[in-house]
Amino acid sequence: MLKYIFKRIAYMALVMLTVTTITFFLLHLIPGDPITAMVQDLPEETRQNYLAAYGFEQPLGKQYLLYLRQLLTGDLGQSLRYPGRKVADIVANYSPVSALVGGIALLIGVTLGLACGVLAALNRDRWPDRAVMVLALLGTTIPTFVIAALLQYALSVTWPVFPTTGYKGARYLVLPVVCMCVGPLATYARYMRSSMLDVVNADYILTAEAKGLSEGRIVMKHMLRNSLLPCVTMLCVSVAGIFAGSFIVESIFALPGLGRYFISAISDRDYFVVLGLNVVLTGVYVCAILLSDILLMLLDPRIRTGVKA
Amino acid sequence: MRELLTVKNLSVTFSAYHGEVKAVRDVSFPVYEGETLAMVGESGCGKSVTAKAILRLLDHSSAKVSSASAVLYKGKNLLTLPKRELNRIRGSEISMVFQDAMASLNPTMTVGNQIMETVRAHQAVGKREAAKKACELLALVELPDPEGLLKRYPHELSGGQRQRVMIAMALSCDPKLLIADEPTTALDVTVQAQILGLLLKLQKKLNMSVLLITHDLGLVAGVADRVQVMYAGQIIERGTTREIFQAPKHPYTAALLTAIPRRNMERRQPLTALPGTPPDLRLELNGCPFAARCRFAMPICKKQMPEETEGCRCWLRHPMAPKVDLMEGDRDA
Repeated sequence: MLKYIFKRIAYMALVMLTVTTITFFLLHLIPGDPITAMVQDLPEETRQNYLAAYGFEQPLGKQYLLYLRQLLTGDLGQSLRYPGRKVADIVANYSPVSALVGGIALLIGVTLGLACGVLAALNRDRWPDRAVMVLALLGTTIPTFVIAALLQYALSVTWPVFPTTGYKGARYLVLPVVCMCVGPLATYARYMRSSMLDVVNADYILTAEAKGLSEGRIVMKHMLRNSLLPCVTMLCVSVAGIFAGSFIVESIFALPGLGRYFISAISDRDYFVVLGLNVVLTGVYVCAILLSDILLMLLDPRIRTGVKA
Repeated sequence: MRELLTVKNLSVTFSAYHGEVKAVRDVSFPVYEGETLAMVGESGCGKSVTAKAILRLLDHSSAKVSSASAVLYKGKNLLTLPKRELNRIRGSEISMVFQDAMASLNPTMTVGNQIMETVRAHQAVGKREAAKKACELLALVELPDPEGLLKRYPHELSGGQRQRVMIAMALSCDPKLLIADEPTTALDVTVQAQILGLLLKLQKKLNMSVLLITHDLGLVAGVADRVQVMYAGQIIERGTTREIFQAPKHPYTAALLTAIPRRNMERRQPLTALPGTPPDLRLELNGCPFAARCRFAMPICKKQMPEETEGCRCWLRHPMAPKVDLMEGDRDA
């Protein structure tokens, strides 16, 4: 078991290195540099001086090695656009907003989604199933920005119940949360439905019925646990995703979250911010996947045995 | 012998994409107290459906049990019993063992919990008492180290062990009737014999009736008191095991018996097989369903289904029918 986890951690390091490398070179493939992204008509000499100050005149390979060395000392670097602003601080300042909005949305979306999925599976081919499936289809196909715009139009403009944009209290969170929970709700409803249907038709459910167990007990004890297993992996990845935030939702509702910051850093060619955030988010993702595997191992005895052997 | 359970006029249809499949067609039979009744037939003949219908385990979205059907147990019709009362009988007075024990046990629940769950569903006992009972049951089905087994998961056991666990679970409330739906089909031949032997031993010990569903007529010989042969959703012959094996009356039964390979067969002697396939169960059958494959078929066989005479539905039993030797060519074997 321990050996397995160590092996996994080694793989995680490898994944992070690969992602960092790819991002580093991709980023430098984009035309332009941080200084031209900020001010266009700068004398060439000033521009060169600026670039030299950050070491951008050196060969790309050397820059890459320097960056890796810096990373290994635990330094994520600082912003080029806003000198003095450290990447670590950016994460600390912006990700809580993303995590708060995304967390609430995910909690609501997943809970409702799973419930809808169970409801649909237990009423297969009857109206509750059809209703859930239609809603889930709409939820996955309508883009978030459309939902956001509709919500703003209806609940901020026509009936001004909630503020359109900003981040000054709980009321400001309602629309973004609603907007962001649509996706997970739809996805988890569909996923849970199909995973539940697999279980409903399993032989051991027939056994449970033949044993004379009540319907409630069969659903709770035999169906739910087994059909939730495949959702665990997805859930861990979703949880990791909330830290990255949603660029679209955060932009539309003007929330000071990490998603919005991340995208603006790319257009600013703020190399170190992009790279640093990327390293952090990759780390969160690989940890989430490791966590989901460990969780699955705890929940599914079959996987546990496989690892032991 | 007293009747324990009576199946009356059971008809089951399944709605499929391409029409209604009439899987069980007006089947009636009793199960007596303490006996082993074997229900034999090839795949798709309706034997499993009949077994599941008794405990109302058919998927109600696709299977329809006709309103004329009845399963009488202690004066109650199980098919119309309220769910709550039915659940009191399921797993306690009538219990069931299925073919594939691996798939039939919950993979994420320990063996102990699955047995204890059954005990506690029917008896007002605490956790510790249920665990003790589970231990006794595992010992009853002759599994070594019952204590340790309680904490094991189904995938950690062998096929035979799993089936023993299934049996232990089915016996947890001392059932009056055990329905065993192909209990040994998924097992090795040697394990098959062990499991069957165990079932028989426990039947004597607990004095219960066993309804044994199988496609293997050879299995039945040493086990069953009575045999009924199903074909295309109907019982076409029934009798004591002795009657069926020594003097089959229906050509289909005879054909099944001839198909059993024997130890004293000549080397390279081809195995006897029955040509043809069973009829399409979507169709209304007017004549005898076996007529198309029967080497003794007469014109009347294709027109009208014969009534049951002396436990056999065959026109050959008619006083005016020619006398034929059903086991012809097999007598010397």
